[in-house]
Amino acid sequence: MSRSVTAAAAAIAVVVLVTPFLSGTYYQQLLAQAFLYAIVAVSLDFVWGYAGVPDLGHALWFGIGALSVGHTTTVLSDVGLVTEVHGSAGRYLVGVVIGVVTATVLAAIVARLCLSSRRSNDFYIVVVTLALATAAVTVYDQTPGLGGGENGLFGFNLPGVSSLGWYYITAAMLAVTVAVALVVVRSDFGLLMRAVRDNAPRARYLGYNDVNVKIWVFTAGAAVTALAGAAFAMMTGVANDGQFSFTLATSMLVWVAVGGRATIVGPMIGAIVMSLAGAKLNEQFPAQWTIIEGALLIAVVVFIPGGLLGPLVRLAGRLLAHRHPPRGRVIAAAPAEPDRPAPDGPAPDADGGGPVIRIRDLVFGYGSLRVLDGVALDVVAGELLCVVGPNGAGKSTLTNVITDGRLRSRGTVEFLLPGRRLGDRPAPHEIARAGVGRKFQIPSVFASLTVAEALLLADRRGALPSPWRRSATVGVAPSVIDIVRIAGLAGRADTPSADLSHGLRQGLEVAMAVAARPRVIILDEPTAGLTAHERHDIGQVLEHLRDIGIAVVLIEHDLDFVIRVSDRVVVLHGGRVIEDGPPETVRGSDAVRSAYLGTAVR
Amino acid sequence: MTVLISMINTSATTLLVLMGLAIVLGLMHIVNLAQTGFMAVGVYTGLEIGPRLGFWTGALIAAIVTGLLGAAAETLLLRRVRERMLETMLATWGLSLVLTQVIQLRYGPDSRVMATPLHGSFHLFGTTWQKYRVLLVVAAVLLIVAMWALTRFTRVGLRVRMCMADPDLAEDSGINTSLVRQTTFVLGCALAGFVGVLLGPISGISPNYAGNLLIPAFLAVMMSGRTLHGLVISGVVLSIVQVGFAYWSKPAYATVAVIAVAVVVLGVLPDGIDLRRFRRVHV
Repeated sequence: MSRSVTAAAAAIAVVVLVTPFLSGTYYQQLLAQAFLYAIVAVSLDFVWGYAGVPDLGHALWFGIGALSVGHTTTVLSDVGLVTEVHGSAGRYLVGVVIGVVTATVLAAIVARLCLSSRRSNDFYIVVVTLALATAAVTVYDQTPGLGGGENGLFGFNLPGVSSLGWYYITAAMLAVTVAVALVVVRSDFGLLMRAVRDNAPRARYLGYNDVNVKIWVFTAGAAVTALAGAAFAMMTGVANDGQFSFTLATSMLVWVAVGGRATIVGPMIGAIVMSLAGAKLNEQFPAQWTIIEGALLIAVVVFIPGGLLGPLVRLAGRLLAHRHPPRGRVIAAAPAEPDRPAPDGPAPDADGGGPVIRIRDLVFGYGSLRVLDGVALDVVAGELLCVVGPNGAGKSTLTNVITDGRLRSRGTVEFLLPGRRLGDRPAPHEIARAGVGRKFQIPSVFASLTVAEALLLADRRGALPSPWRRSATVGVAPSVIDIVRIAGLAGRADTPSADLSHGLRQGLEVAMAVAARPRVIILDEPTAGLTAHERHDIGQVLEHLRDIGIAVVLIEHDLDFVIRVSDRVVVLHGGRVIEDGPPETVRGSDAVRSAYLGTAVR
Repeated sequence: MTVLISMINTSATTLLVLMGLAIVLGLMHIVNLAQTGFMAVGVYTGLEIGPRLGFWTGALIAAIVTGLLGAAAETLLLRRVRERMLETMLATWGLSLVLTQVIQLRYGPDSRVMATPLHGSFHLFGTTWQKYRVLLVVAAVLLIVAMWALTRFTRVGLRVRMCMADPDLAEDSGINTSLVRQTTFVLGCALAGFVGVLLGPISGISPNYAGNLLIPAFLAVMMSGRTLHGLVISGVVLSIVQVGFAYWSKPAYATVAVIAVAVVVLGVLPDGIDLRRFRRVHV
């Protein structure tokens, strides 16, 4: 840790420790509440800011924690009035555990349902989370036996802890939460979270199970929030429907939005400031306060997307962290690893160029339309195969259907790759992990990740990154460095992908595909937007990849380029393979000429 | 029989609410979480105007007021976050809070009632039908038919469908998509205001008016596969589930059941309810 970080942390610690002695019990309580809300804000920032899952009903988890403690420590009459309080330490502990476990399980179920659906998008998640929070309030109010109905539960605060005690407990909880959150978001796993938020499909085709990443983060956020809710209930001795309500959920959104999404510290400050201000105003002017919150939400979302505090927090973070070298700078100095480490099986060229993907009778279509109509094709290790064909021939669809086993309508796509056998219809991340890399036709990159960070993720090929370690260097194969150089990415290792031009993104995509150390690499128009010179260089890299035993599948439009580099050419037309052979044969083929130019009418 | 009538009535209510949502979502990709806020503004306008100038005048003026509010919101706010769904959701959600609380400041939190413009009931099929509720059912059906006819048979509908299918191409074909979008949003909001007044006589009116209708309506929109018949089917199905659960179980569980049904349906049919899918021959 650099000296400035230590100094800043020490200064904050002193302020936090001294503050309660300068204020009365009332403010100690208020601050303790604010700290708990700050924990909630940090967890929501984790879920929404970093993993990109907008949880509009985040109060649900807070309420579950609070209700669980309230329910286990009180005895209710038939109509839901508190008749007795069981104040043994064991019961509080049970309450906390039940609350956290319930929230975790429920959140995992909700996340799986919301996120694994093919229909999943922000709209789906927002509506379902909002609906659940609303439903929770209704159920709470109409089930007095559970939590006292509309009256709620009260009087069960943890005995023997003063407000000063709570102040320090909550401050410690917050410090731990923030520290853990900061470590995680700065770790390699934090990279993956942002990658999944920015561009889930791309992460999928690099071998990462994006849905699981989001589910874990969502569930972790819910668990932390439930813990904060439980602490809140123990401290105040109150559990009621308000803790589930969308009013509280909206406040949480406002804290995060105002503090600045994806900064951790911003939402923390936002929560503390807003909840202190709100506590004073809310007593006298509840309606006005809600209007202020609503207006702030609109203003921040529409006019200041970075949040009010976001830019400041980012600036402070950069100043404090300026001694940490950013990731990457090191690409060119990467260790010269062998290109084909092949830890789990024989080198592919050892089996004498047998097929690594065997496609038979492949059909893909919807309705009466058949985009692929009985394609048969072998992809061979150590061969540069070009797939050509006129627009609409089904080339890109072929790529999609090979790399996502769930899409095809009929036929077989067999992966004869060493390592674990794939199922009949493997998901994209499984295929990617088995060693099939791809580059999209339209460059698809992670907007907020730098070139080096993107390559780091690609290099890991779906192996889960460490949630605390922050890799300082990115070791990639020499051929990746060649591509980086040819594509003009050298010296841009720290440039966010969003700032790259189209051509550079194109190069980054190819570099990412190669960095994953694939056995098969499918490149959809890697030379589009490149100059003749760059094309020539890319061609050399592709030939190199072929020479070290990778099966290279190239989807191309530029026939001259194809004939120069390829070993074998497959011509697709109308979803069928009309020609399959060496480039010279294909060039002279009548079928190919008529597919491209049409047949003369006599 | 009472359950059946209740199901029909709830279906009509849900359909009236969700049509405005669906227009705005389908064309502008805006999830208007302020829809019920606009309905609340409408119903309070109706409460102000109705007793003086009559119910229907009140409804019309309410539609104009909410339409103007919608135009302002579109111009000042939503245009800036165009095609960013999450941002529009949060902005409209904030707008909804503001509208609701402004009403609360002006009128207080107490519940109010609105006089029915159509009194009385009649007997048919051995049961009693309230005239006003039947009117609402007719209104819902008329609205759906009007929507269908508008999009199928008119030039305006054609333009709207062009904008839905491909905004860029529509723009290049000489359609002022910006105007079409604004008009659509204003229409959606005006419809919300009008429907707000229509539902006034059968609901308790408080600042948080129709808040409980928003979620089922959105779930229904989500379930529908972006088709008009899908919307109608989802609206009716969810209303039946809601009323059924409220009647045979507890009303509290009805809200949960509605969510569960929507999630399960979307799990089985990821593209939503779209009958055309079944007609297609699968290869």
